[in-house]
Amino acid sequence: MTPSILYLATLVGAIGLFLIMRPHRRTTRVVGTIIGAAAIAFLMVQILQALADDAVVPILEIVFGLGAIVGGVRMVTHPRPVFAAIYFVLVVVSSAGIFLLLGAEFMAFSLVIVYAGAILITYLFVIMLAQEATGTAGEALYDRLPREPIAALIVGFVLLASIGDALLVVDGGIKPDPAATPAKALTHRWSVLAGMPKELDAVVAGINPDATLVRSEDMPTIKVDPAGAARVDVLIDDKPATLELPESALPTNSQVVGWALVAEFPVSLEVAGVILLMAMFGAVVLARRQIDLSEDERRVAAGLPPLLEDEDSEFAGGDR
Amino acid sequence: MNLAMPSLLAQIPTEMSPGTLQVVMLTSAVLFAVGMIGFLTRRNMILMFLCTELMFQAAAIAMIAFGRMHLDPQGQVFVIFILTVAAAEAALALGLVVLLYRRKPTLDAEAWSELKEC
Repeated sequence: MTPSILYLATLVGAIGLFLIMRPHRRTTRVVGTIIGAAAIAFLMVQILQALADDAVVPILEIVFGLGAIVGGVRMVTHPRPVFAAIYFVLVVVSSAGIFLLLGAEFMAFSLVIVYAGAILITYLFVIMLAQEATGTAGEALYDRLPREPIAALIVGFVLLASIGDALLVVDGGIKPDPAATPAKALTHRWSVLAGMPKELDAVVAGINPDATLVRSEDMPTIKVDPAGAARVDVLIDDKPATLELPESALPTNSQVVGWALVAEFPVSLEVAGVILLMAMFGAVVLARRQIDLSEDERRVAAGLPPLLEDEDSEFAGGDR
Repeated sequence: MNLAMPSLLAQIPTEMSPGTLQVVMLTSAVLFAVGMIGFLTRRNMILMFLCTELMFQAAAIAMIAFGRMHLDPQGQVFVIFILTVAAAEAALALGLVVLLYRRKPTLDAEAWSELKEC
C-alpha cells in the first residue's frame, strides 16, 4: 500500500464521519455512511490485494472488524446516550469474536463477562439515573450537537494516518514475527504443563497407570522433538521408559494465560489488585464527600451556621 | 484466493497469516481514532468516558494481535491489566460524574468550563 492511497482513504473516511455527525439530517447521514463504508472497504481491499494469491482470506476477521467499526461510529455519533452504550456492547462482542479468532478464548469470554456484563451495565445505570431525573422526552441539546467536529476530525485524521502509515505502509505492512515458529510455541506450551506437577501426574496416570514420572531436581522434563511430539521419562516397574504425551494433554489457553499471569508477572498481578483497591477507596471517598456537603447544606437550611465554610473563607481571604 | 476457514479453538499453535494481522491492526487503529474523535466531540460527560473505553478496547485488540503475532501469551496477560484499569476508571469516572451531576443537574461538560484557565 502506498502512503497516498492510505491518506486518501483516511481523508474520505473523515469526511464520511463528518457527514454522519450532522444532527437530524437523514440524507447527509446516509451519504456519510456510504462514504465512510467505502473508505474502510477500500482499505481492506488494498490489504487483501497485497497478499499472496494462495493466502487465506480472513473473512471472519473482516466481518467482526467491520462490526466493531460500525458500532464504534454509531456510538460516537448517536444522539441518545442509551443507544450509544448499547452500540458499545456491539463493539465489545465484535472484538470478543476477533479475540476468539486470534486464539485468545479466555480473554474473549472474560471480555464479554467483565466489559459487556459489568462495566457497561454500570454505565447504562448511570445514564438512566441521570436521564430519569431530567425527566425530558427526547435527547438533550448537548447530545445532539458535536463540539468542534472539524478540529476533532483533523486530529483523528492525523492520528489514523500516522498509525496506519506505521502499520500498513512501512516495510510493506506489519508481518508476523518470523522467529515465532509453532515449534517454539509448542515447546513453551508443554513447559507450562511441566510446571503443573499434579496435572502432569494425572496425564501420565491416564496413559499408563503403572508409570511414575522421573523428576530431576523436582521438575519433570518434557522433551519436544522437531515433529512436535512430546515425551516424558517415566519408570514402569522400576525400568526407565519414555511415554509420548497425547495432543489432548496440551495445556488450554486459560491454563497458559493463568500460568503466564502467576509465574511470569506476579508483581503486576499484585499491583492490579492494589489499583482495584485504590479505585474502591476513591469511589468511597467521592461518595462520602458528597454526604458531608449535603449535611452542611442541611445546617444552612435549618438556620444554623455551616460547620466549616466560614472559617475556610476567612482563612483564604486573609492569608492569600 | 483461498477462502478456506481455519479451524476455531485450535489447540496446536499455528503461524499467523499476514492478512489477518493487518486486518485486525487496521480495525484497532480505526477504533482508536474513532474513540479519540468521539472523546473530543461528545459533550455528554458519561459518553466522553465511554469513548475512552472504546480506546481501551482498541488497545486490547492490538495487544491480542501482537501476542498472536509473536505466539506468546503475554499479550493476553496485558489485556487483563487493561481490563483492570478500565474497571477502575469506570468506577472513579462514574462516581465523579454522579458527584458533579448532583451539583448541577446536567451532563454537559461545557457547564463546568469555568474550570478552564482561559
